[in-house]
Amino acid sequence: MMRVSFLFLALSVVGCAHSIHQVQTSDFIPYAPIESGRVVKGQAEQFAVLGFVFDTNYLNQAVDQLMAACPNGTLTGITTQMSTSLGFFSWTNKALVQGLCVDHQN
Amino acid sequence: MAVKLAGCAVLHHVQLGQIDNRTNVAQVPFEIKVSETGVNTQEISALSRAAKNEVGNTARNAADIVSMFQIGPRTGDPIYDEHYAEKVLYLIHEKCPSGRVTGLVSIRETRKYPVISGEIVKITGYCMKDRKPAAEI
Amino acid sequence: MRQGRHKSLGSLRGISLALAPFITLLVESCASVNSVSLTPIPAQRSGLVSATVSRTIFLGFNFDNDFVDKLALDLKQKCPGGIISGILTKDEVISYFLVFTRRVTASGYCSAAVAHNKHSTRSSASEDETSPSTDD
Repeated sequence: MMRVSFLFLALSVVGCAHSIHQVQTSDFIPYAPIESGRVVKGQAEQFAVLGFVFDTNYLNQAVDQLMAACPNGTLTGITTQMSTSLGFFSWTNKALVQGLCVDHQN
Repeated sequence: MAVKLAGCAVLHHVQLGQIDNRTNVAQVPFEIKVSETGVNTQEISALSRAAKNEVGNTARNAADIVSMFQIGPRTGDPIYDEHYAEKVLYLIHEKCPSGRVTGLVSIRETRKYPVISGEIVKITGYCMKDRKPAAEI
Repeated sequence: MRQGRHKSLGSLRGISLALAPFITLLVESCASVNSVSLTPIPAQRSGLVSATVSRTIFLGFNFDNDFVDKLALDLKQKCPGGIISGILTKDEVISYFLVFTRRVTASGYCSAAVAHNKHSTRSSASEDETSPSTDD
């Protein structure tokens, strides 16, 4: 019974572990309250099997996505989060960038 | 043992932002800390091995199976909620509604204990506020 | 005679097949990111400038990280008299067999519009061959 419960516990957490590597916050210039703009984000992923990936362009894609979400505004207070979803001899690298899109500079 | 239980602090990454140190504004310090519990399955496996009984063996096998599904680059121990640090932008604005934030320091650190750890994201900074004019005497 | 040639060709093919994984290991590279940072992005996004510095390290023997100091200087030179904002800095490692390259890339928007390349997105800028690269 104990063995079954241990194995059940093991299987229940399989495939859902992550690691946050870095959370960086940019300057908040131009200064703006959150109500004066809208929070936009860009995210991208890269699947890797045993580390065999040959570029890191997914990061640029996330930033391009962020800028596309705010085509005419200034992006301030940008947070950048780098993480990895761990897996069975493979993993997914993830980039998430969020920022406050302010259309008129304050 | 006491040292182990107290927990070791591991600094992974730190970054500073622009510092507006002009004297015509008051600077109110703030701190935001978000964290999640990390679990180290390799340590569970090692501890279970020391038990040297059937329960220990089963636990070790279970931990070894889980470890196989947790392969990849790690910073600290694996966590089970990847979204815990996504709200820092909102939290900063909560602490400083005007958005006049300066001297931001972003820290990614781990507080390590046996088997588990605290995977921490800490942001400190200053919220700038206009100085109140001195009261007339 | 012909049989002998066939035999030698066969053994050559066998050797090359056996060596293929090792050659692949030597030539292939794996990329990973160490850290990323981004500064506020302006509304006017023209004049993308970028600079790259890198150092190839053999067996981990590296005694300083001074190669990174040139990065800001390179970026500054690409935008004389202007303001560079929206700077994306990417610190990555490209691993080969026994050797790895530390590469730091910074790209941003020059407000003076002194654009050295005409790309408008970061993805294309990162693949730009014209950006200066310093390999110590």
